[in-house]
Amino acid sequence: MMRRLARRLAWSAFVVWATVTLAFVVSNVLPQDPARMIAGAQARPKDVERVRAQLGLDRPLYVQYTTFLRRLVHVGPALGASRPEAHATCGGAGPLHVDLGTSYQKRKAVVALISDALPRTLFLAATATLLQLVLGVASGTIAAAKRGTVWDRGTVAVTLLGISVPTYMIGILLQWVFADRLRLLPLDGYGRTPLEHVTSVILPATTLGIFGAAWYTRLVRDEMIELLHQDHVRTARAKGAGRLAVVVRHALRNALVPLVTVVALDFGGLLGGAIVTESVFRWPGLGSLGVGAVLDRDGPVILGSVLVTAIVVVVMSLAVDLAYPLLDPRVRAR
Amino acid sequence: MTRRARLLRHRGFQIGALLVLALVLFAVLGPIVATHDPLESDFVRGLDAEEMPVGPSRLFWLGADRLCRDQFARLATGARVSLVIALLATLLSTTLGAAVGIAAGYTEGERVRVPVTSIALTAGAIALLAAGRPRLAASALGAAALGLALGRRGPSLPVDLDALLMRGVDVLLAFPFLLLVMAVGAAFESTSVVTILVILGLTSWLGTARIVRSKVLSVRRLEFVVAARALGQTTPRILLLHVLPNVAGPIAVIASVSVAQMILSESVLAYLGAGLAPPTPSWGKMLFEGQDFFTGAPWMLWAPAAFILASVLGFNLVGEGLRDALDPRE
Repeated sequence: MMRRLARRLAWSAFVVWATVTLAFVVSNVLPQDPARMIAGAQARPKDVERVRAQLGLDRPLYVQYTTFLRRLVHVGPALGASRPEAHATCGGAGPLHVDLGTSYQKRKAVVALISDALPRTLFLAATATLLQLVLGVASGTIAAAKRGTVWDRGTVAVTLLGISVPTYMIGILLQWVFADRLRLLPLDGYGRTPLEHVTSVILPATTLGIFGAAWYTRLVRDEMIELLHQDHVRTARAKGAGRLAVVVRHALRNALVPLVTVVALDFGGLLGGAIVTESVFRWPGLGSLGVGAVLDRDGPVILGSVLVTAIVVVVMSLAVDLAYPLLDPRVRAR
Repeated sequence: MTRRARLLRHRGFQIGALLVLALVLFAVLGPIVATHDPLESDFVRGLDAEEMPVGPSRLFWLGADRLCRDQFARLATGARVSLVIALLATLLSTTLGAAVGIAAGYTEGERVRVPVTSIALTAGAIALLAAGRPRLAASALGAAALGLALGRRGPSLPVDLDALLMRGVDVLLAFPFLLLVMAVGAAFESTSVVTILVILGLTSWLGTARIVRSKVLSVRRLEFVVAARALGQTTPRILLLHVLPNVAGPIAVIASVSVAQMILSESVLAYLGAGLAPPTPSWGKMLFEGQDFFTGAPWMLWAPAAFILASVLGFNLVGEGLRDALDPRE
């Protein structure tokens, strides 16, 4: 068990490293010149060269790469109120520093940009996941229990529509109805006060939730139909258990096992930044940060957001693997 | 009931197939029927008294866009563009995903002898990519694949192909897909139809590879495959005649759903500002351009939105019908 865990952890670390290295290569292959972009289109060649030297972009690629890795996690003085000049762009805990450099465009530490964006993305992802889970499990269970009825057919049709509509269309539609026509909720942005954060999250979370709920409904329905035909369910019915008790206690509980896998992986995906939804609602999270960085050719920010995304995805899939034996006794026995 | 009969009686499949057929007809005939050139602005008749683009009328069947171009003509040309991108990108990603999935699934638990030259060329390709020479890297990779296909001669090393391929898939899955697409898109100076479809095709085969691999894992243990191996049939022959036909069903399902995904991805790319370069119309591009005129000229948004929705729905329904028809339990 411990050996399997150690191998799994080592592999996860490798995936994160490989992903970031890939991102480093991709962002350096892009035909653009960060030095020119910072110095400005009208700058003299001499100034462009000076900026290039300042950023260390005149050095060979492998030197830049090793510098990036060495700086990424290093040991330095504890981060307090007064931090030395050399560690101005660092974040971290105690003497352990994480440094992703400075954004070319925003002139701020990438670590600071990410630590601003991450909680907002977390907030949106958690709200959306909660919404789609509740809606999806409820309607999927009802549809499976009433299989073949109008309810079931209606659910199947509506969910098919739900997974076919592009998310940005749902977003624009919601904006139009609730912000433009009814003026109930803010059009976009994040707001300033906690109350504004809550009212601002409703529309983007619903946008994500509609797609996710449709997806989960289908998943739960398929799974439940299978389970309701199984022997233990029939036995429970025969022994006189109520219909509701059978559906919930004997079938739904088993359907949750595969669902947890999907939910965890989806949650990881959302934490990486729901790029489209964040763009539609100008939600200042990781997705917006990443898209902006790609469009601005902001190398350090691209690398930073890829790193965070990769870590989140890897951690979530690790969590699923570890949680499986806890949820399903059959896996534990093996 | 045979599979075909089950498929043809499936209500969802009927609706989906009709939708797809209608869209294909629209793409073929639309540009011929259209009364305007899709790229031509008509600032005289295309503007109303308030200097806004005119709405649907006898002259402009679906209204005019912000540059006073005919929406119908643009949607019809856009249908060709969007469908060609979606279909070819699907062909690319499905072929790649199926090839990787079959190779990984069939060699699971075994070590394959890979020619040293191929390994060296692959390493060279990675080094070239790191040095910023993507074209040279691509040709080195091609040569490596060629050596793999041709070669049993010369020195070779045992490689756990399955582990290698699937770990590669893991890495790419952890990479944010849209960022990758946008980065590659940004790397090309002007984004043409070909670049978009290659980008979409090359970035969306991962799920296919995983599903095909799991199917192959169960197929390769079936008696007829084991028998074919025991009889000494060559690997390519077994893969082509015995394995592929038995995973063709799931691949067909993935492919039709994937067409829908490609149409969505193309429109998302356009929406994020990394799509086709103007003036070529695609549905996603038109939707993106129409967004700002939402209240003043809603037809600019609704017309492309309706086409995107109809095509995604159509291909999803076809995929669903195929899945149900191929599922022995139904």
